[in-house]
Amino acid sequence: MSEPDQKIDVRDRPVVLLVEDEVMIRWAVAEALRADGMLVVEASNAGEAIDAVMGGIRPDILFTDVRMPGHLDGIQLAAFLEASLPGLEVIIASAYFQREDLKFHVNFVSKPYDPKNVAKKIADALKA
Amino acid sequence: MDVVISSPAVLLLEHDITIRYPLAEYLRECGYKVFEASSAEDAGQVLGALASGLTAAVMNLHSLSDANSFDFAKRIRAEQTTAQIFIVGTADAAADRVARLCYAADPTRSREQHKQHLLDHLMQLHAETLLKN
Repeated sequence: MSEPDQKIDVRDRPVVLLVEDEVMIRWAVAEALRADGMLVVEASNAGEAIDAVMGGIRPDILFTDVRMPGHLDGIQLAAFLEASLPGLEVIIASAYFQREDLKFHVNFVSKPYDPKNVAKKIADALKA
Repeated sequence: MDVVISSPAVLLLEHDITIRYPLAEYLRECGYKVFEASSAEDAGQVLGALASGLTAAVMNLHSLSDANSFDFAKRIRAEQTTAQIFIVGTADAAADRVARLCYAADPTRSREQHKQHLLDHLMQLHAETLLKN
């Protein structure tokens, strides 16, 4: 077991807001990101992601699926959070769209994806 | 997906992300793998994916929604025979059960100390994230 005395210093760890409604896909991606030293906030839909931000979580990057249950899809969520959090990096994931379908610039990942590749893409986006 | 876990693992069912996230993060610091579920449906998917090895389930009664908490607990008992099951009604009670699990992982600190540490973490997480901007 690790020593729980170590405080979570979110200033030194990139915070990823991961939005995905498939719980085991979300878990696999989150674990890959944590293995890379990132702090991951897991949200199952756009509403939860907004609740997290309203609750004080300040993500460095949003990684979101497009199609999810609830009132907002991933693209609407990204637009809302980008307006609220200037400088927020965004990566969109979808099984239904391809990059060429999108008429605007966005970091994009096609589903299905390898969680380790997602972790690398997020790390690259944070370095950029 | 059939997941085999080697570390102690906890299923955490809590619909409020601002409570679930700090509880889950503290459990991870104590060495647990944590499966975060925001609904009974999510929790059911986790149970379906796990071959075995769940150490405990901490579930907010209010997050179970329409699911019958007793039936859900029976399902966990049937599928994860050694798992401890905690059904709680408040965030404070959830923090208490998480502290109990962390005490099992790290008995050098008392349950009360774990709980206080967890509450401090909760406050710290919110304060630090607010300070970032």
